[in-house]
Amino acid sequence: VKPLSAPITVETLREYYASLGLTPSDAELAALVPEVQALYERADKIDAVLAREDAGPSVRVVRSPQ
Amino acid sequence: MSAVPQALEDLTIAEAAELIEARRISPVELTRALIERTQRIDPIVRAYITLFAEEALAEATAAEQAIITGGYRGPLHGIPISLKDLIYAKGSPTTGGSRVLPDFVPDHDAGLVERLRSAGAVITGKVHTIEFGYGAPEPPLPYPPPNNPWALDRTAGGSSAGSAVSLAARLVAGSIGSDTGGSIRIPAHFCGVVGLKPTYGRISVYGVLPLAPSLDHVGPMARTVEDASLILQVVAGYDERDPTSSRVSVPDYRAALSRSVKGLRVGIIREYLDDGTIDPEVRALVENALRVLESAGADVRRVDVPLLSEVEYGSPVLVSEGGASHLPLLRTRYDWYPPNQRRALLRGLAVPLVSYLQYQRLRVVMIARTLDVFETVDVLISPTLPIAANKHEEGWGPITRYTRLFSVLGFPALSVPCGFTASGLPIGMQIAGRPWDEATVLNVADAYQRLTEWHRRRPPLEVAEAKEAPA
Repeated sequence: VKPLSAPITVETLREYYASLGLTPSDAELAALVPEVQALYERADKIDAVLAREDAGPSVRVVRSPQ
Repeated sequence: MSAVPQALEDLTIAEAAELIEARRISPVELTRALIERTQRIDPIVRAYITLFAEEALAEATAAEQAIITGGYRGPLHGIPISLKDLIYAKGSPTTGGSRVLPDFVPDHDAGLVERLRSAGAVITGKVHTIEFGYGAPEPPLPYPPPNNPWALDRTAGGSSAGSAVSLAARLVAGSIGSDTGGSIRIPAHFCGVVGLKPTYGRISVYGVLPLAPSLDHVGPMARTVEDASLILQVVAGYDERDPTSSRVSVPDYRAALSRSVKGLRVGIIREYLDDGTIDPEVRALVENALRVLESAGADVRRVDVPLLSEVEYGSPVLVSEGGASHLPLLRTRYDWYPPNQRRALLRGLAVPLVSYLQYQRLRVVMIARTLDVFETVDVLISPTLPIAANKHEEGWGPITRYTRLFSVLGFPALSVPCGFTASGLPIGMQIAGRPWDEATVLNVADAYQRLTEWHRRRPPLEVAEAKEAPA
């Protein structure tokens, strides 16, 4: 799979999805550009919440709440 | 032998089980009545995708024979139960409610279906789900969305709408739904039935079409809390074929129902009740329900739950896991997907890995913070949804606003009917508990239901049936 990297454009998305074996249309790719950009912005927000909650590296991902 | 006191379709599981065990009604009689009712009513409400009429009658006959010969297996023996059509039943189509899977026939039962069959339940068929349990209805629909039995021009929500509708319309006595962000509790709220999303890992999801594996749950739906507890008793427990399944012991849920709620600490989630967008009628009904619990001795208090606004950041987890789950089908049946759902799955495939992992870390923090709240309360309560059912053409509205928190946390949460709006639409109250403590959730919901009669109301479908009938 080809890694997806900034900037998010129709072409970078096309290459990324092609590497997954998918061929979205131009219209789909154009609609996805702002949506995928928003996902990257959201990643920054989650970082900020973790920092605010002092969730350091000792917080481990677990599968269930048991 | 004295007469059976009410119409067969109105019997709860607990009532029917008592009559079956005493051989006052037979599983065949009960199943035939519900199948015949389904054939009359389902064209109006559209709960079913596939009705197992002959198979169900054969299973009922087998149950009857076993019971006659002394082989009574317990409260689900001979009880008709429907399955959301994401759940495998061996040899029968599992469509996922989608145009993408018109031809998938599993060669085995889901783990929970094995348990239902072992308990002697009669599987009546597969009921409606929005496509793959994800998103809102997107025309052209392969299976038209169910109509709300309380107002046929209104939505039953989703995604386990077929389960809720089949119960409210008295087509079955119990059902199994699934819930990734609220899909059991939402249609339960809209249709005036009980829906329980248990703790993550409590019921095996082996043989259930996945959407987002770290969020997917399956759970019982019924008209009463007692019935939901009877189903949960049978389907809960470890299954080695499901890596998310837990070995935590399964208590006696029905026994927990008889406990007093006096002194039990009930926390109402302040942010949800004071949400500026909540329908005032919904708020008033939930406040009335809290007064009922107070009258039973519960200690009701308002509490703040941390990180509620951060729940929304979880949507990339759902879409990224959904994208990964669907990638093989997207590769081979790309054009078969509805466009909006396909675009959401494509978006999910582009979620940054670091974002996915950071949110999973945030979930751990959210679990810890909410467990802190459970140091001060025994259950958390909110409206299940901020609104009553919309008309079909209005769309679903903000349906996951209060439900997705407990999907993200993996804590048990149940919707119990708590009244009707002035226009006759049911409203649900959400009751959530600590991980693995379904017993307390069921206890509180059952105590409320024993003090109220909402669950005894039935939608006026016979009027609709008469209008639909040819002149």
